[in-house]
Amino acid sequence: MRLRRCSLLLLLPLALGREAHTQTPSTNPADLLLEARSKGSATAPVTVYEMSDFQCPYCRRQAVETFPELERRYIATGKVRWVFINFPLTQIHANAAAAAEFAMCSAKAGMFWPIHDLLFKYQDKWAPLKDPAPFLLSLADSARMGRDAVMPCLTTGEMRAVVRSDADGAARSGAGSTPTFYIEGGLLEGAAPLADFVGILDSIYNAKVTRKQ
Amino acid sequence: MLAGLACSSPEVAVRVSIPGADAVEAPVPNLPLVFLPYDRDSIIAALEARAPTPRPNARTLDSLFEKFRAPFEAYADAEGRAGKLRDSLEGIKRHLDSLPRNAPEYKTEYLRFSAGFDSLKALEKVRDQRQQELDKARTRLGPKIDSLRTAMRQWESTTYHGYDSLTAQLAKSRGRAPIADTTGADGRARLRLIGKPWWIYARSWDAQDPNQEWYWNVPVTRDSLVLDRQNGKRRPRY
Repeated sequence: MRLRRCSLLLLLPLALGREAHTQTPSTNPADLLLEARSKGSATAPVTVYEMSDFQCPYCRRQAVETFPELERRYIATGKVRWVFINFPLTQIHANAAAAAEFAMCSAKAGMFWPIHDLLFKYQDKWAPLKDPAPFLLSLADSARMGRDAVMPCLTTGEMRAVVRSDADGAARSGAGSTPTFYIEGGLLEGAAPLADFVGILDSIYNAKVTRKQ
Repeated sequence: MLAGLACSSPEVAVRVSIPGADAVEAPVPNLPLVFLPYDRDSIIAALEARAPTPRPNARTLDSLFEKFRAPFEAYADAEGRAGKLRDSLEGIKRHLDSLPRNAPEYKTEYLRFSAGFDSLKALEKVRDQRQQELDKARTRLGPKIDSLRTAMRQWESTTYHGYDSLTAQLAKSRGRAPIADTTGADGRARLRLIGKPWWIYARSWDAQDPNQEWYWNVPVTRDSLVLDRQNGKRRPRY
């Protein structure tokens, strides 16, 4: 288990929605849809930023095998707030940026998490496609949000800058691979097993709660 | 254990190799490399295009450099040959030291050493003469070169005044700061770059001419890059 120290300042532009580069359309956190891609109470003592790539097999492993249990133990119980940050590794994953853009357009339609789950579930289907767009749109049908909910957003490409801003912020925070987790000042790199998360989250949560009392 | 299992961008491997003093291609160790998220050449060209006057003194300096080159090359050639002969004599001497004085091979080796030693003395004499000529050229041309260089520095300082703020803005807008690295003893460096585009910027002394340098500003388009005379510019070191 490796938890590398890291400054939140580096991640702040994306965490707080500050302008990360000139092509970011807005400085308003609402426009970065942070709420739409967060899970858990806004007042949870611990916040985890997951910097992830929908086409990365280790991110899939994390999302499918580890995250559901983390959600049950920490997010549903109000201990942890979980925020998804796009970090598509475009040099090695040709469809990662398209998937991230699709997920963000789904976030705009209030459907980020269902699409998040479907993207990881069917990663092996869309990842090798030369043009993943038709398959991705079929996921909109599977999630029962309908293509019309995402088509205008995909057509204008308005989420491209948000995805890029996410990725730039992730790189600035010190992430060099996916998944990487920013947990209260430290970076956890790689698809860590549940036991690692439990050790880290319990210790941070206990320290924070004890300090408050 | 799952920790550490992750996807990551491939490493970029860079090798730097240029002709040495003997014109043979050799790796360049300890060379600073800077990875930039922008194309510095295009920024420099834009700033130069805005300058009210062209770069001053370039032709005069080029001509002075040309005058300096001949004595430098003559000296470097003599020193290079003397160095090689010195190394070779060292080898013969070590061999001689390992032989008994009465060994039949000792005499032939001693004669080789003796002849080589005489050649070295003659070569060192030539080298010393050429060094004097080089020193004369330096005394004659140096002050003029320095004064022209000072004027050029002033022009550069005015012309490139906005460079730092422009590049800082560009780096900020792309969310990526320049990354510095240095080649190892083998002239190689490896690092991981996130996002794109990137350019590698590097400068190295030209071993064959003290008034020239090798300059690279190469876009990173592959995982493995070679900086050499093919993609480098040999340019005056004003």
